[in-house]
Amino acid sequence: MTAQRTPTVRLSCFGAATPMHPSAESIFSAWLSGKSAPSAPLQESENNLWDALTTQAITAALPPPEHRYHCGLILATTKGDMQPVEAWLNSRGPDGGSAAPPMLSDNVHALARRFGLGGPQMVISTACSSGLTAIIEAAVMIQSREVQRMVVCAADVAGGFIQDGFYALKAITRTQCRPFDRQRDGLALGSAAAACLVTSDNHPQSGVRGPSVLLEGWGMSCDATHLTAPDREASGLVRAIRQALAGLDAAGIDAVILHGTGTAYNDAMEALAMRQVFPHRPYLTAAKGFLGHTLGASGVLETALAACMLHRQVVPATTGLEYPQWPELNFVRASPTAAPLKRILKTASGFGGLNAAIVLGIPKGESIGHD
Amino acid sequence: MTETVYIYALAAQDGRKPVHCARNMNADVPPPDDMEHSYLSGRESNAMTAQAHELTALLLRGVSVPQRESMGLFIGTCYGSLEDDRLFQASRVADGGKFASPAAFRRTLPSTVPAELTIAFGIRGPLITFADRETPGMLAIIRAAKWIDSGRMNAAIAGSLDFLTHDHADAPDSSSSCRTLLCLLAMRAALPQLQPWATIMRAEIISLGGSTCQAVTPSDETSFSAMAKLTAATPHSFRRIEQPCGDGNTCQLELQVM
Repeated sequence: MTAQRTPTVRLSCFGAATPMHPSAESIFSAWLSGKSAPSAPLQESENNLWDALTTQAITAALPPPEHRYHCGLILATTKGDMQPVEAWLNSRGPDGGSAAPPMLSDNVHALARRFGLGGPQMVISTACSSGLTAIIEAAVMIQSREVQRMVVCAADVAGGFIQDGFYALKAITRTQCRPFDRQRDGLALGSAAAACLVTSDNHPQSGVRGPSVLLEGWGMSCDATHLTAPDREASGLVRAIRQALAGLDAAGIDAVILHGTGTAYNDAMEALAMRQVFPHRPYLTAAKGFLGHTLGASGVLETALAACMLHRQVVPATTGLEYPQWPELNFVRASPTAAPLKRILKTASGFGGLNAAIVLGIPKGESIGHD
Repeated sequence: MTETVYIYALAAQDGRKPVHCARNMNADVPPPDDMEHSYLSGRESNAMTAQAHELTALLLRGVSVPQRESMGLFIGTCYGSLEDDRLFQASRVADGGKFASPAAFRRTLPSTVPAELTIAFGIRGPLITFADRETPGMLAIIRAAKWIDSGRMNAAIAGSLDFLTHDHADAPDSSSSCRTLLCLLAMRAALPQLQPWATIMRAEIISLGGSTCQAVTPSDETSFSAMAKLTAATPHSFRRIEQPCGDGNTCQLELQVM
């Protein structure tokens, strides 16, 4: 696969929501401060959480009303809204049932109808790399001139089905999620939705709100080694990163938001990839010690946080990291670090050995300021 | 630059466990000389995985390891991992929920079977799993064609995978793979100058506008034949076709090939 530089795709209008925070900016501020106290918690039960989170996120990412009819929607998720699925599963006896089985695509059509988005609609489900994959696919559609605007929404709710699964895999931390720490013992789950508007930078940017970033490169790869464990040699992630850097100087990456699940093998794989690709030691950070692992939502959510980093010129600390296992790497820990940031790399990896990486930069003329 | 995208199609289904795969690739990868529409016998369990592996092996015959390392895998699905969800759910509720199965859980993703294919065959390019109600396989093929056309990928396996156990196999929507096959048949019929199963498309001129094929009985081969004859009447393009199929169900296809 030959990755292409993509200087003309812009991501803007970032929206994000967790049960604790209603916007990308509030999540970023909380991450900076290291305080997990809610700024405006959603008063929703698990039954309504999917609707509440996706509504909050997509509302922020919508283009102006006159552009919505032709605007498409990609939903990135690992499992979608599990409420109807669990209801269907629980309604079936040994001989099955008569109700039509739910479909993952029902989610995206419902959201498109609710928000009046009449362009192409699709669901992308590539495990925990779903969010970045959806951004990349939207960029392909923009660059192919299939559409002028795409909303990408990534969402997952960590309900009982998912929690029981990760407990069964013994992947849940017994203490605290500690990405890249010597004492890391697993991940913490989180629920979130995040969304952004993907447009061509050549088009008038009417309706663009909040910080925007350029998608300057991307890469995707498969490890082709194991269904749940990453490649111990990090070859898949390294290929994805190098594709994303095609035409760019690796030394031009100022900071990286790693996937950073806090699991033994994922973190080791990512640390190895950083050593192989970036001898200049860019700032490294990871958000899942603060947010939990939001699965398919994490790619877009952490891209929104990367946009905040670029515009506020500050790298938040890697929450949970006290005793780095790889001290040779330049992890930001304990407190945020103000730094001149021009380009940020965001990576994601998922079950099945799926890897994705994107490079984000600041559009010319955008105002930035130190935090 | 616009690439010419070749699609070589293979399909397998036994009426209850339909599977379809197609290979999109550039001209520098020769097609197998025995590429045929083939029906493989069904299996009682895990048929989707077994058939997907069998078809992928056929599609990749003659494709070298270096070529596979850059190939993509684009798969569409209606139901994704719903059957595996059911198995895991059963393990969750059994014995008071004490023994939720990790083996079952790790298969509860729509991307599980495609990921297994990458592992089995050394496919290391991009993998995307699309979920779509109507024609997920065609969506996957068209997205792969777009990637190839833009130069980001040289070749991909693209198609659809769906599997439901006996009690829902008769639901019309369980036939996504057959509908993909139907669309390919229609395209083939619309371009009669082409060799069987070698449908050449220019990716930039293909659009899938609300493509639907509804209520096609999965095992009804006569539906495919009827559709092929129907589309043969419009040799170079067709937009909307509504015609009763042999079983009385309505086939509706809206596909632009110009």
